[in-house]
Amino acid sequence: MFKFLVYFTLTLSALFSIEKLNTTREHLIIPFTEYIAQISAWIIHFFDAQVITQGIIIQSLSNGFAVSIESGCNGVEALIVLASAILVFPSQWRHKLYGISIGFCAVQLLNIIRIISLFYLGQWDQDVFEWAHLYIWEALIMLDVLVVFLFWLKQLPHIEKPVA
Amino acid sequence: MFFILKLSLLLPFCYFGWYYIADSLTLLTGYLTETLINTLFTELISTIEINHTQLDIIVNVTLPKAQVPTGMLPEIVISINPLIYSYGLPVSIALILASPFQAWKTFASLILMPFLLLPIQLWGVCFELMKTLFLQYPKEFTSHIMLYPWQNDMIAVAYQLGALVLPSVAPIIFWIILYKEFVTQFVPTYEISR
Repeated sequence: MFKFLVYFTLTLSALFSIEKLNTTREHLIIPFTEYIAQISAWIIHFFDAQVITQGIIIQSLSNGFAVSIESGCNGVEALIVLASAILVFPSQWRHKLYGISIGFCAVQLLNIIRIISLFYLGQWDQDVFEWAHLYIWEALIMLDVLVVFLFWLKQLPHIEKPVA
Repeated sequence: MFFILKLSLLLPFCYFGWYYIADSLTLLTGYLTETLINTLFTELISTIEINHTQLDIIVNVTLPKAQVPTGMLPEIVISINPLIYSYGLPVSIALILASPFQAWKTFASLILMPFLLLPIQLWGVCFELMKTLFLQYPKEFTSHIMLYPWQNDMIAVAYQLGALVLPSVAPIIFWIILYKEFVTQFVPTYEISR
């Protein structure tokens, strides 16, 4: 357990540092965030056509309200935490890739639900928006990471240990 | 599955309880922030005013004498919401309550967890203050404090860590450490093959 936590912390720090590099932000994080904004707007269009995106901003044409998907709201940090935990836990590489791929989908699915819910909460009530944005959704995303990690652990095959 | 259901049901109540005692928690955070920062940078903080759950930190700054009216001290107010660094507390309480109940262990964990998470909150508040003061305000405001470029970089990284990662990850890590036996039941076991 201690070894896992030490390696997890080191891997998390390394991946976090890479994520904060200007090159990574410019060529990977920002385009990815813009893509998330576009996907969110595409989903919103099924029930509200009065929405546009501009880069990382989603805006309502009916009342001008807009949300900007900043660092911390694009699910990247949550993915880094999950990836760090999966990479460090002893398992075969194909199981790690499987876990990270499924985790990516699970985190981004919940993240898109977060973005869309905050977009409409902000138009309804600013206090509720603040609460949901600052306190509740941050925790839910990280609990999502924990649940995915525990499910991944449960799916790992039992380790065969031959009798001497 | 039952664990996740229990967690989902407990979370709203834990959030309600956390916000109910938020004023008291903010008092403690404010006092400790002033002590910590003034230990690092002598008399940087003049005082901290608590406004419900917001810290209004009154910081002593430097300005040219000509810009300061006679008899007045140059100060700026930096407002910080400490709750954005402590939302992990209701999460950790919910995790403890959703875990298998053992009287002494559950109560000890419930008492211990706020103290384990307090440094995380202080980290966030202090580095947000330093980031705002040293990286966002004009350099002349803090001309009496010499920081090297690497120290400014460290403040920026520490702030990002304290804002984006620590408040959500730390509660889960502490819970895993406290409930190691429960969490390890998810870990694949050895099977003897013949």
